Amino acid sequence: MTARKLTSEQIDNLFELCDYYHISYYDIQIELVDHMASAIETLWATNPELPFEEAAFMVGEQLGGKSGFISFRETKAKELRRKYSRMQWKYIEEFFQLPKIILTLVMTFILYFIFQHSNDYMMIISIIQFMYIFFILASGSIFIPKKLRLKIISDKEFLLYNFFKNFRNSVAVIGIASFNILLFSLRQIHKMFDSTSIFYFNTQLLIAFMITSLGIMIYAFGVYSPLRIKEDFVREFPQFVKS
Amino acid sequence: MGTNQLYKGSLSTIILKLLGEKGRMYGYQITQEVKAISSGEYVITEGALYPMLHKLEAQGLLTVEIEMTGNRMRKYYSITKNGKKEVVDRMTEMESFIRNMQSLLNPKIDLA
Repeated sequence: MTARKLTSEQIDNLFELCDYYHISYYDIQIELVDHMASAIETLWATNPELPFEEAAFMVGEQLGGKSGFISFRETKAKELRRKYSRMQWKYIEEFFQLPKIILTLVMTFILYFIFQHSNDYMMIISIIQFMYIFFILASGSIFIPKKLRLKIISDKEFLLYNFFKNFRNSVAVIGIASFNILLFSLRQIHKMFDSTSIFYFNTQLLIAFMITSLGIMIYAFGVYSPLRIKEDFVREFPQFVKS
Repeated sequence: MGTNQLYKGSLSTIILKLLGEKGRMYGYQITQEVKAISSGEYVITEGALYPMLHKLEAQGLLTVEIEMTGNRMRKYYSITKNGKKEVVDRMTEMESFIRNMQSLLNPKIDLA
């Protein structure tokens, strides 16, 4: 006699059970449904007459019921957050270590020389404002290059895809706040000295370094991390990626 | 239950070692394999297994593949190159721990 297996309709019922337990993310549901289905089939191996509903209830309880399912989702989200945050900070750190620190220093000195030669408050403010406008346009999806876009075919919700979208939103918030802090600080320094040539050697270098660091941070948050998340999504769920 | 507590701290090592030996496996298969190897003495709960698998995946020690199996999708875990290195280190630590525990719990009496 062949072992009793779940029908496609019963698999759909298990997906509905996940929805009932507030697990709406499809990438999490896949693993839970397969686990429940395997456990039900193991139960059927010794008790083939056991009704599906009863077996599903038993397995659902083994998984901790509603709180077990929610904790499953929460721990997965926590690990994903940790993963991308760890990747991102490691990437940022590289800019302050050899060999990438050379790039950081080159960018800082290029800005420093521009500031030194002009030493003009308006010029510095204009550069930052230009970067700010570009950043707002880019984070508002106007300039986003194709490689940073991810569209999915399915109407389902994916935790990983949500991460991708949330990252871009948080980058916009962090970036706008950082630019405003930078512009505000410069205006305050300018007011204090009340001169067009207030930027002496140390302040010029400091401002150049601050702008470079801000650029690195925005690149790490806004380009590097979303690209890593996109890579993972495409590798795990190629069938759901809209080309 | 008492024995399960003793195994708990070694769960990640057990998973990595198992995947290193068996190749790719899915979650439920891991629970069954561990149960069989330990003759039913160690039962990994789902509440402990999946967070650990997700953690090891996030640390880059495991990688995942999703495949269609019959009428459902299945997520397979395999060990990465970094994971293999980690197993070697952890096994060395584990062997040293077992030796030390044996010495601590069964001290040889020095009759000299």
